[in-house]
Amino acid sequence: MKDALIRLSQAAALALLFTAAAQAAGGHDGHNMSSMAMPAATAPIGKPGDAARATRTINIDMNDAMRFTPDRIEVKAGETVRINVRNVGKIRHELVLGTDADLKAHYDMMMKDPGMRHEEANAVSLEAGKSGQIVWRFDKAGTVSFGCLEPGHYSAGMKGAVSVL
Amino acid sequence: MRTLPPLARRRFVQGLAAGGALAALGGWRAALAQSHPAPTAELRGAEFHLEIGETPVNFTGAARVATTVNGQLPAPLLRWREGDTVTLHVTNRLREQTSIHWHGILLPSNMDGVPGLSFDGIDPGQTFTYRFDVRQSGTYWYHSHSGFQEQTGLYGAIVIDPRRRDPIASDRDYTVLLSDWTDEDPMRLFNKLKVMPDYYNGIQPSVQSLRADAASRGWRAALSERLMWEQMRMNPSDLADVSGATYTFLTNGATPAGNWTGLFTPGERIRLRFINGSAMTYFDVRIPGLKMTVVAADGQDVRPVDVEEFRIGVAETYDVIVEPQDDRAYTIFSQAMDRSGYARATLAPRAGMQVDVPALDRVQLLGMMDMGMAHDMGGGDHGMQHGSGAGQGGMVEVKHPYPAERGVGNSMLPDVVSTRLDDPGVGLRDNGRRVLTYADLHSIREPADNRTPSREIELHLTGNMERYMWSFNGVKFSDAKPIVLRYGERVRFVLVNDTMMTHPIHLHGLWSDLESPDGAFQVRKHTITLNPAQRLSYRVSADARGHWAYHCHLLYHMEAGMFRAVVVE
Repeated sequence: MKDALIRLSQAAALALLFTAAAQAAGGHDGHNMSSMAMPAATAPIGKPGDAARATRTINIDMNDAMRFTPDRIEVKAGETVRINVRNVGKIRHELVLGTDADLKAHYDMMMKDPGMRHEEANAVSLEAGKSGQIVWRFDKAGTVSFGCLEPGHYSAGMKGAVSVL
Repeated sequence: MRTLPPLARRRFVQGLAAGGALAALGGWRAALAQSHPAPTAELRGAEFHLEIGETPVNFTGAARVATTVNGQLPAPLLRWREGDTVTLHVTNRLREQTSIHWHGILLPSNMDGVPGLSFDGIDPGQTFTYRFDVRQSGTYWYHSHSGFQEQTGLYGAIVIDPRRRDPIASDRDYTVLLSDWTDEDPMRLFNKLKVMPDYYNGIQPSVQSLRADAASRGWRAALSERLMWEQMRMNPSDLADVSGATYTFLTNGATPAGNWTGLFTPGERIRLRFINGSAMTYFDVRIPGLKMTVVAADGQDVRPVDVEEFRIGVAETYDVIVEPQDDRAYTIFSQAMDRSGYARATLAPRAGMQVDVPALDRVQLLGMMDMGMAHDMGGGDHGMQHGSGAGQGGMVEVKHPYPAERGVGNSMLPDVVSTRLDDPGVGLRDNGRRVLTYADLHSIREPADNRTPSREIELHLTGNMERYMWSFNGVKFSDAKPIVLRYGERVRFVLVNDTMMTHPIHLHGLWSDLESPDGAFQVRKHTITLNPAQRLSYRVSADARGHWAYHCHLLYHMEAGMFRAVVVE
């Protein structure tokens, strides 16, 4: 993971994702995020949220047909939501939040080095039958994408989008 | 009608409860006393010492000698790690030459283990050291590529753990290696097939069945169909040429009575790695009471698919996940495709538990569709497992590029062949169970080289059952030129099965990327089954130089000449 992060940091196109991961590492409980020096522009997808401030819970299933259910969700700008993710398949799946470009670049890297794990706050990686959670604050209006970056899954269409209104 | 010679052993034998390799007990006296075989060892690491020798065994009540590795049948399970370089020292303690081929493994051609093609073989008393980088993960196997040693016991499982986290997590992991054992000398068996190919076929239509047939359909219809089969030099019961009349079917080296048992705790996820290490037998596998999720084929992860039954061709592997919830035993029931017998094993919470073994399914005879008879085209849809809609394939006319061989090398030519992948095959159609077909298999990852092929090589699988001649394009190996590929090119192999038998076709050293009927990449395999009168295609990247074997993996078909050399230069 460390190697992967270093390589991520070297890829200019991936600087944004790295920032999100660094935030996660520094602010696991979400409370000290504001203390981290971080230009607002580096977080177009939002940032880890404070579970206590979550206004609602969204359930997403991941399955072996390489799909998220639902794969389209809507939130309001500034809203913090709890995303409960469940792997209903027989193989590992994950849900990673990012921009399309980030996810694509990250996926290409996964294909080359599938040993990478996603344990940042913007991602949850789950073995078959397991459940997990992401608490996320969506800052700005627009679209935030999500995908499963397991080799073969993203390219098979395992992706979705959050419309931030 | 031909009359059959009397057979000493017409019925499939369930075998001894305690049959197997008896080396540990020392000699023939011990072999006759019968005892439990030593469990097949699992060898892990990067360096292995394998000694090929002879070991007394007793599966049926008759003492015989098997060809074994380190005294074991099956040979030890080899557990490798993706990314390692493995070194395997193989010593020959036999009185004849031997070899080991690593089936489905990517490696340099001089490590592939085919005597006369990729290396010189291993002479008696010699040690050959194989060394290569492991560049893949999953379930594979290894076996002799010399004479009939594969029939007499020289086969074992290979499991390669991925470098990354395995996407298929499980609480238990068992290999389930299916095989066929005969007390007969394989050379004599082969010679009998050449003289009288129906020798082991116990389900030929008889005068009685003709009478029954006539009673239900009228004499004219019954007689004319019988006459037609005779004229075609075909027989509708030709599902397998060697049957339970001679074979005892083994699961992990145990007879049905021996009942190999895998233990579990209810609620666990169990990964079963099925390997068909038979010489000649296709198995139809099910575990009554359990749904099976197929997660890998030929070592390659596939999109998981839930089934109740699957047919495993000789040399194929399938990984399935089962999740037994109840505190009870389950039977792993693997019946031979021709229903002449079965292999049996058990999954149970405690040793000694067992449940009833299902009855063998009734024999389904080949239909005219399997023969590629044009007049049956309207009925060609029966038993197909629909679901894919467009692009599922259908019946197409076929041209035969080798008319000269029509007389002897090939006894029958289909007018039409099926391009469908969703036919479960004869014996499994409309049986009320959800049966896996190739149409269900989709690799999770696309090949790194997924170019459209730049040219096409069409090969027909040909044979004359009545003379036990098997070949590609009507030319047996000894008379054929190699297939030459240019290094770096991607070609499409189009195979047309002109015969009425099911054949597993294996290309060494290079992947076979099976295409859907509409020409899209579908699943990566090392061994591809063709049903009778079926046409299918797959892409091959010529990314490894050298001499590679390409053959039908039915041992006696390969020996008879259904074999070509593929040269990448």
